[in-house]
Amino acid sequence: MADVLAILPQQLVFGLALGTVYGLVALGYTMVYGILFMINFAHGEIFMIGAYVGWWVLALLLQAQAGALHPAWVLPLMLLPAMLFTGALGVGLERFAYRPLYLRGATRLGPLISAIGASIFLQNAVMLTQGARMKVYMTSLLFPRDWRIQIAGASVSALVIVMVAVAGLMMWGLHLLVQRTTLGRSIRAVAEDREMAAIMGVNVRRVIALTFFMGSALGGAGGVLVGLYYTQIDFFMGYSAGLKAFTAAVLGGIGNIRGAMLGGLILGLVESLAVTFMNPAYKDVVAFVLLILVLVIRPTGLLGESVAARAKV
Amino acid sequence: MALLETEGLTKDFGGLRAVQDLALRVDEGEIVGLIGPNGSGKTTLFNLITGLHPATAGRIRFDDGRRELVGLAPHRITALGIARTFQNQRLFNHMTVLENVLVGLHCRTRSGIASILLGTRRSLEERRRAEARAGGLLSLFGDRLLPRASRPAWTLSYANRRRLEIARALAAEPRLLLLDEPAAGMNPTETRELMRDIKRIRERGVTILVIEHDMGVVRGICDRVAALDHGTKIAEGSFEEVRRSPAVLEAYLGRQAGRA
Repeated sequence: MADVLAILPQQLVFGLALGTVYGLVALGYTMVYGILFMINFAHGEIFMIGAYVGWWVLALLLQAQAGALHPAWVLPLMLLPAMLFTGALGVGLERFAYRPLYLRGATRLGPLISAIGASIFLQNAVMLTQGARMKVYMTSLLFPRDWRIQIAGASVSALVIVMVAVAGLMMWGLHLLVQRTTLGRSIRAVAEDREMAAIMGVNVRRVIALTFFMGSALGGAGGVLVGLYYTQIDFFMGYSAGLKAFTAAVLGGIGNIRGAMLGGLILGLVESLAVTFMNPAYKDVVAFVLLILVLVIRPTGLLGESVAARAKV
Repeated sequence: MALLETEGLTKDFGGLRAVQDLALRVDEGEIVGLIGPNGSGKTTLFNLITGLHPATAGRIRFDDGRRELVGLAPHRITALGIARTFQNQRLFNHMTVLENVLVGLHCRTRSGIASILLGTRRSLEERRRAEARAGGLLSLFGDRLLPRASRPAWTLSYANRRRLEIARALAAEPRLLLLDEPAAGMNPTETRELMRDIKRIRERGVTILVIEHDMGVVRGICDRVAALDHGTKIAEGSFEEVRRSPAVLEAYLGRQAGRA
C-alpha cells in the first residue's frame, strides 16, 4: 500500500494531463451536439488527423534540419496547421456529409449514420495514404527527457505542463469567445432556438459551419498533444480516443461546454486512479462504469439540463 | 403608401387551406388589428409574411410594391425591415435580457468575424454602440426591463417577457412590427400600459400589424381592423364597422347571431 501511495501524486499528474486533453476533444462533440443535436462520430478521426498533421510538420522540420528544435516555436508551428486543417475538414464534413441530410429534414438518425460512414471513410483514407503502420513522434527531440520538475513527490515533465497549459488556454479562449463575443452570442442563440435566431438575422449556416470549425480545430490540437504524449500514432487511434472524449462530454452533460471540460478532467483522473489501485486492464471498465453510474443518477450528465427543462422555462 | 400588401395569398397545409386568396393592405404609420376566431389563419399569415412558411400561392409586397417577400429567407425579410413577436413567447431564455436585444441587433452590425476575434477598435466601438442602443430599447418600457438587463430572460415575469419580445423585435429597426397577441395573459393595468407603449412605438415611425383577442385593446389602438375566418377576410374597416359586420358576428357567435 505504501508504494501505491508513493506513486499516487505521479498518477494524478498523468490523470490531469490526459483529462485536459479529453476535455479539449470532448468540446468538439458537445459544441456540435449543442447546436445540431447530433453526435459527430467522425470527431475521433478529426482528432487522429490532427495528430498526423502535427507529425508531418515535425517530420518536415527534422528533414529540413532546421537546427535546434525548441518547443516555443515548433509547437505553435505544429498546432496551427493541424488546427486549420482539421477545422477545415470539420467544415467540409458538415457541408457535404451532414447538411444535405438535416436541410432536407432527415430524422436525427440520418446525419448520425452519415457521421459513422465519414468516420470509416477517414480512417481508410489515412490508412491508404499514410500506411497502416504506426508513426513515431520524435517527442524527445522537442522535450528532452530531463526537462522535468518535482512537485509534491511527482515528477512533472515539461510536456505535461505544456499540455495542460495549451489545453487550458484553448478552453479559456473558447469560453471567452462563447460568452463575450457577438459570434458566441450567435452560437448560443442558434443552440437555443435555431429558427428564432434565423429570424433575428443570425446567419445560421455560417454559425453552424464556424461551430464545426472551432470544435474540429480543438480536436485537432488534442491530436497533436496526445501524439506528443504517447509518441505513437496510427490511423485507428481516433476510435478509442473519440469514445473516451465522447464519454467525457456525456459525463459532463452533452451540449454544455463547461461540462465537457469537467467531464474530461474527471475521466482522466478516474482512469489514472484506476491504474494506481487496480489492474490497469480495468482502466476502461472503471471509466465506463462511472459513466453508467452518473447517467443512472443524473441522466443529463453532471452539468447538463434535460431537454424538457430547456423547452419549458 | 402601402407598406405591406398581400395579393391572392394562399397557404395549404396538406389538405387544409389555412389562408385563402387573402388581400390585405397596411399603410405606413398605421396600426392595423387582425381579429378572428382561433384557427382562422392569423398566425399563419404572420408566418407567411416573415418567411417561416413558404406561401402556396400569391404575393406579399413590401415598401410600396418595391420588394417581393415570397421566397425570401426569414433573415432577409428581417433585414428588409419586418420584425415580429410570438404568441407563445420565444425568448432566448438562457441569455440575459440585454443579450436577447443584442441578438436582435445582429442584422444591423457590421464587424466581421476576424475583427471580432482580434478585438479591433472598430468592433469594440461597435459593441459599445450596440450595448448602448440595446439599453435604449429596454428603457422604452420605463423601469420594467432596464434594471433587470443582466438577468437571464427566464427569470422575468410574464408581462416583462412580452415587453422584452417587443424590445428585441424593435432592435432590428423594423418599419413594420408584427405583434401576435401582445396582451394575452396580462392584467388590466399591464394591458393599459401595453396600449400606451404600442402607441409610443408607432410614434417612433413603426407601422404595426397586431393580432389581438382583447377587443378593448383593438378598439383602443387600431386605426383599422381586418377580420379573418377560415383563412379568408370576412370584414375590414374601422373597429365599429367590423364589429357590426354580420359575417364577423356569425364567425364569432354562430349562424343564429349573424342573422339576428
